[in-house]
Amino acid sequence: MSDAMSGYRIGVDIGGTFTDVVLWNIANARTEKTKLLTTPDEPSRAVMEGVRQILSDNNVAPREVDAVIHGTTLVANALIERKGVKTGLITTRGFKDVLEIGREWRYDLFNLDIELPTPIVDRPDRHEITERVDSDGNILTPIELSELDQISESLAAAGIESVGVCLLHAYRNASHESAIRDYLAKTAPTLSVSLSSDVSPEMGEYERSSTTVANAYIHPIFKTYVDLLVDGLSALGCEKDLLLVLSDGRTVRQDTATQFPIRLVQSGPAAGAQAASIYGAMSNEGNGTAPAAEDATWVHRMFNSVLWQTPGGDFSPLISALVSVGDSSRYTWDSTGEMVADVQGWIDDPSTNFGWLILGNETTSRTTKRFDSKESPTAGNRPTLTIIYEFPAEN
Amino acid sequence: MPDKTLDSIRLGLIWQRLNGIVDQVSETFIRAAFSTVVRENYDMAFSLLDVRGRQFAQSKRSIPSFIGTLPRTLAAVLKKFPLKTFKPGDVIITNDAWIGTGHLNDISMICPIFVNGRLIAFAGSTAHTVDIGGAPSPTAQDCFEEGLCIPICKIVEQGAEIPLVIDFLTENLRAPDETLGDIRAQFAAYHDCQQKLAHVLEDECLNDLEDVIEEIISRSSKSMRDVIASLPDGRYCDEFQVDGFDVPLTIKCAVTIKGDTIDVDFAGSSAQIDRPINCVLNYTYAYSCFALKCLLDPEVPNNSGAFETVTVRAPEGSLFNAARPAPVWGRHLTGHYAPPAIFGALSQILPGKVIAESGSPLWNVYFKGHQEKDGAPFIKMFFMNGGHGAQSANDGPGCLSFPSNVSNQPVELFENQAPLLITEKCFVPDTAGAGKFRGGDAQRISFRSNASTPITMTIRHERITYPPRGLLGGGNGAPGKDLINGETIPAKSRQVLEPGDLATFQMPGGGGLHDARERPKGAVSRDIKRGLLSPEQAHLSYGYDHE
Repeated sequence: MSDAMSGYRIGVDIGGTFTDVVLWNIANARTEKTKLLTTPDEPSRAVMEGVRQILSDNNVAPREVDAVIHGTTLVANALIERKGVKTGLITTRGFKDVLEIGREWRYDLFNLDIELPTPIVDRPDRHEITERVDSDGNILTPIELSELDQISESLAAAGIESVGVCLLHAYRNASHESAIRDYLAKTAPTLSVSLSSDVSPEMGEYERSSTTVANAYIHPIFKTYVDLLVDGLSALGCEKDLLLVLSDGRTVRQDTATQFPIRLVQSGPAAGAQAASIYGAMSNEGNGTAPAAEDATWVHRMFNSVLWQTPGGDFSPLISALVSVGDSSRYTWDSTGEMVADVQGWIDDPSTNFGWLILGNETTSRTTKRFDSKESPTAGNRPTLTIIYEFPAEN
Repeated sequence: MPDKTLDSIRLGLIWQRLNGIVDQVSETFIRAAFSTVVRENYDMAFSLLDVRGRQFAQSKRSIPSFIGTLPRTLAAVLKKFPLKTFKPGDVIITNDAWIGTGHLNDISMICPIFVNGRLIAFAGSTAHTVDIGGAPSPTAQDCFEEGLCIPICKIVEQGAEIPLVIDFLTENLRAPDETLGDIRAQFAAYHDCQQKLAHVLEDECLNDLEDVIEEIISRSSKSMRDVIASLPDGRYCDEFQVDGFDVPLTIKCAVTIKGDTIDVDFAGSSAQIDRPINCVLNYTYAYSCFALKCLLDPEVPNNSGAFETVTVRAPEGSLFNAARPAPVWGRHLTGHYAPPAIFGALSQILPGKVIAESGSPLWNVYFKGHQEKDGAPFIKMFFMNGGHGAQSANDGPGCLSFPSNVSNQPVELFENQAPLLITEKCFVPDTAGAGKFRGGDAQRISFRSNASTPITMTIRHERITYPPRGLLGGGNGAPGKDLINGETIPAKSRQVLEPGDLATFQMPGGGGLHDARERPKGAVSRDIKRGLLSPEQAHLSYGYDHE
């Protein structure tokens, strides 16, 4: 996490129609934005153009940019539109149909014409290899690596560019999968290889195969795309890291992202949901559980049938920040750890967001203060809250 | 204040929210459950029912029979515990085969949901438990051999578990931690459900859900009645033989359409037998309703309203309406034939909608023995689905559950839990019923005992003699096979696996639809290329010869 209170950050989102670029001035918390048509043949082109444009429009030098953060739907789109590369699978002997059999479960109970997704790897491109590891990770049957020569030949003949490897219990003992990777690195150096023990080392052979194969399917195109983007940013003078948003909303550097593009399958939507939660926390409305018109008055707690226990509002006795103020003026409070925790809590669970209460010392008239509200006719007198949001780092 | 009128938009929003809640709550149950049967096989259901006992929503992950039997279970519960006797925090339990789902291994529970002191709905759920005590076996001659029967009783009263009921369960079951873990997971789900429903009422400024439920149920009712009324009146029949136990049995079904009503009558089917394949009327009703809903009105929400003009009958003492104390452990071996019988009958008037027969009744296998590591006893069940029947405009998917909806469990998980090694799980060539649209491919699964002590293995499988039928000119799927070390074993039997023995199960393939000669050549050659159709079979079934 950066403590820098100056400098700039750029956020980029590529959608099916538009590419959006946002420039954030950390010091004054202002954002500038620009919107371009997406360039589907080469998505990085619109990104470069947008970054160049927004920097020059705002007189920001590329070296002042601390980070470029990118959420993308590229991975999801490639999977949905089936625009990945031709992919193969290598799995334990006896189990090549696991990928197609799936979990045998109907997701739509009443639909007699239910359609199951076509596996990314068709049956002729699913290959079995002699080997077996048990549930404790013991090797029952050593791997017959020589069988890979025949498999490589078939893969090459079928025009396969990328292969997923998923062996039973590889989440427990990955040595057979690693041996396949090392062997193929020598015998088929141009083949892209994704191992289930790297991509998704979890129990459950169908889910792990499916995830590994999906990773293999998009790996080459995603790598090309990110490499172009990094080169382009570098050519512009933005030499700092490119951070990509993962499906869980955290970010990773480009090298991890290109190795495991499947972890970015929900990248764009996750970034959107994060942004929405921040907008929610900063919005004027939406305070607390189930807001409705006319709530949060001095008398009523929620609906006009529910009253505050204490007229004027029930509030937590915990104080998030305490400051002394002087005569009538505009005051700026610095953040406190408690305030940061409050805001994080609102983002994590928006239903807890009842805001802060500014409470003066009203025990004597001498210390009583009056503040303008957001409805003040003088814009400059309205209270403002500045939240600096940091992307959570990868674990 | 929100507008209180229940226009279509507001109804739609509340309805979607109720669906969302029931799905979320069922996930609470699944994630908190202890058993593999719930966590991985999803052999469970979660529903919401109104104070009149009508079902109005159910989770997507549901076994069709359970959502069909839960309203009937609630009706029986309400006879014993009148509405006004319920208190917040009560939970009623039963596994009575004739009140619940047709065998003792499914435990059903009902929880009244109170909001602001008012009973607004019931949450109902059912879950399969692998063991229910007793000695269920393919040769059981009455239901008393099949385990513990829990009569309708409170297991929780105003939030406090009844120790007597818990003690009965603990003392009678082989894996009480697993079963009670699942039961308590459902308590958590009910709690979750109560809070979420209270939230909806608060958000929507409603005191209860009566108007919403009435509207949803009446819409489903009207929609179904309109579809039935659009069909030609008449009596449509189907009759076929099934494996049975010692001798083949007859399944006979007459579907009578008159105006906006449908009557399904299984009269003429074989009488009940003293072997555990008899089906109770609750289960027959559930799968008949499910089949009709799938075939006639699948898009409109499923609830009790859809079946207001549906009657399901079978003579008492027959296969489809077994009388106490018939053995019923494997009641699905009969009940899963209800949908194909109804589809067979209605294929005469709905040839563009029916599917061919699937590789069901559902296959499973029980293994009982001792763990290698610590000698602890284990009992594990493994579910297996055959090929799905050909669909109205597509080939049948390989190995998809129908009419049940039981998922498989991962091989890797099973091997972590039992001293058996699964040596293959793969499609089998030449098992799909031929047709313009072919059936789904069957699968074969083999288990090798890695134990140093014998393992008892129990199976009860159908479609060994009589395979899944093709429909409207389509060919039959391949029959199933049960083998130990390559030798055929009886499909309904208890066997002993000695150390190193290999048990192999090949499920039946799905039936095909329409004449095989109408199948495009490209589709045939693709099946050959995929290795699931031999050139010889392609010649025999399709007259296809590779040039």
